[in-house]
Amino acid sequence: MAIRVEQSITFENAEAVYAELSGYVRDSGNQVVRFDLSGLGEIDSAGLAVFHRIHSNLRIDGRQIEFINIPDRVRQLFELSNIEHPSAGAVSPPVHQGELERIGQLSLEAASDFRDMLGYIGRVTLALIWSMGHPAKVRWGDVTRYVQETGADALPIVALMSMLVGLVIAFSSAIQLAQFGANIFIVDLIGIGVTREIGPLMAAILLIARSGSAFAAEIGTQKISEEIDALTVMGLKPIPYLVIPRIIATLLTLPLLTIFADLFGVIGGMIIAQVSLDVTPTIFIQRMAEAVSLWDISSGVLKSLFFAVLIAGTGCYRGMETSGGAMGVGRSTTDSVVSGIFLLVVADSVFVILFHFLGLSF
Amino acid sequence: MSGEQKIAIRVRDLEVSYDDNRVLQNINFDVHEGEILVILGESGCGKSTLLRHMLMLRSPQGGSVHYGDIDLCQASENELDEIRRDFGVLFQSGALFKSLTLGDNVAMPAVEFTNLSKDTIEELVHLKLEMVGLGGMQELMPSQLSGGMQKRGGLARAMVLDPKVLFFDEPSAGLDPVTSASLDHLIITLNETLGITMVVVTHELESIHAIAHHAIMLGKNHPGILAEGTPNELQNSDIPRVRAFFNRERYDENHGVLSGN
Repeated sequence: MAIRVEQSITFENAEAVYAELSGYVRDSGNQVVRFDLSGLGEIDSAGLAVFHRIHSNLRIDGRQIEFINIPDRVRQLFELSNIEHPSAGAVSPPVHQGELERIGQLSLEAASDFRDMLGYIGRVTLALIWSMGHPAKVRWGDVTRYVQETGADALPIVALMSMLVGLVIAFSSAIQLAQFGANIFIVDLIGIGVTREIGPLMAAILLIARSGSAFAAEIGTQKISEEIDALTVMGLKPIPYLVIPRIIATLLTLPLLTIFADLFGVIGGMIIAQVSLDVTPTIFIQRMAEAVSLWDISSGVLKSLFFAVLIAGTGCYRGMETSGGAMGVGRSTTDSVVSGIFLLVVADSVFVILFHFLGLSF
Repeated sequence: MSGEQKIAIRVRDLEVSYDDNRVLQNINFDVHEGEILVILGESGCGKSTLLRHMLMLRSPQGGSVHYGDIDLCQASENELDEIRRDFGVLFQSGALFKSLTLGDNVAMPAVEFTNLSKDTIEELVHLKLEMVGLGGMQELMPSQLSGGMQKRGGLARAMVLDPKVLFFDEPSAGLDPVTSASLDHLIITLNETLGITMVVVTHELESIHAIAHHAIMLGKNHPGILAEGTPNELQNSDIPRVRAFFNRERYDENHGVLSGN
């Protein structure tokens, strides 16, 4: 006996009809379940989906479905959606991996990433050296634009952040220093701390956040829209064309930003010294000249030169490594910031140790 | 065949400018229910702009676009959302969300706008993909699909809620002749079996001849409709520019039709 369908099946009532029909199907228990569609009203895609679903359920049980008295209009729909002979399921079943295999694979990937990175560092170094010999070949127009973007445009935020950090450090230590009556040493603390570490680090971190990420996103977008391939086939090497101008620009701007950050960090400390410790700006500056050597400032600036190459290089590298559309650009941008900050801190630690053993930190 | 048919979309005196540049002006035409209307013209004539304004992705500077009794240009955001449920759009690149599988892409409108269960939606997705010839591929990511397959996927997504009107922006752009022909065939089949009204923007001559019931041609450097009619009428038009388009000849404002070589 056939199950007679005498209603419309649309998006509005599809779930209810499915429940009703699958109830009949369960009760009938026939090997071949017949549906009589002569009384079928409106049917839309949701209705088709209902029949597909019943069909799938029956197939799992090894039963069959059959339609009789199909109106012409509905027959066309059935043919279009291939209800009688649906295609097989997913194309590629997921591959199952053992833990060991996965560890091995990850190690191989890490090794190959490392090799790529070494190759990249080598190519960038060669291109930089080559550029020094051929300054006319450097794209100075781009360099000036990047100097503007990475340097001049960053001044307000660098000033604000450094001053706030200077304020915070001075304020936190003011209480301790006051307990020992060592008020004047606020100058040593701020002067040396800011010029050696806080200034260079603040400038570098802001450069990573503002420009390293922008480099990764820009180059990444160019990569996925085949612009890098276009450069290559025109015989223009991506590294001299895209990376070198950015590195030169950050080499010019980061030391300046560092000095700027030093200045505002010290100003922040000076404000707190006056407010909380009664150290006037005049005394502060006098003491500063005694406590802070030229080396303190220049070591920070020297470090910033290395940071500049590191940051621009990482941003551009992540950009060039981009693959996989809009998501890939997002991933590269995130990676550029994360690995940029990581490498920055590692490099800074190396400098601290290096300066110590060379007897340069006193 | 358009004589007694009801009008689905009525465009009146549509006027569009970008800054001071008048792109469309005096645009008047009707889309009848169940017909395939082709908007054609040379590159840069404002075809896609017209489509974007019919969908109210951008508001025109003047005129009206009526869908039923409602003027889309005056409609509120909520009314527009309501009306857009009746529309399906296939964008030029397919515009599949790259972070979702093909199946999830197609399922998205159904998950958001219906209260069907997960299993029913799965079947719905399956049958829509079957309709566009991508049966069994729902687990693949868009990046694993070719350009033609991405378009078919976009079409499956556009159709999932049984739209009354389907819009196509350059469906055959960037496709090989075979894929392009099979997409044309799909458009015709969907139009005939489901009775979906279709508005197709294209400049592919073969497609125009294959699918168009009615066509309007926009002119370059001429912000209005240049000609209107069936593809055959346009091919034999009195206007040299229209004839040049249909016969694939070079044309110049000052010298008219130029000889082939």
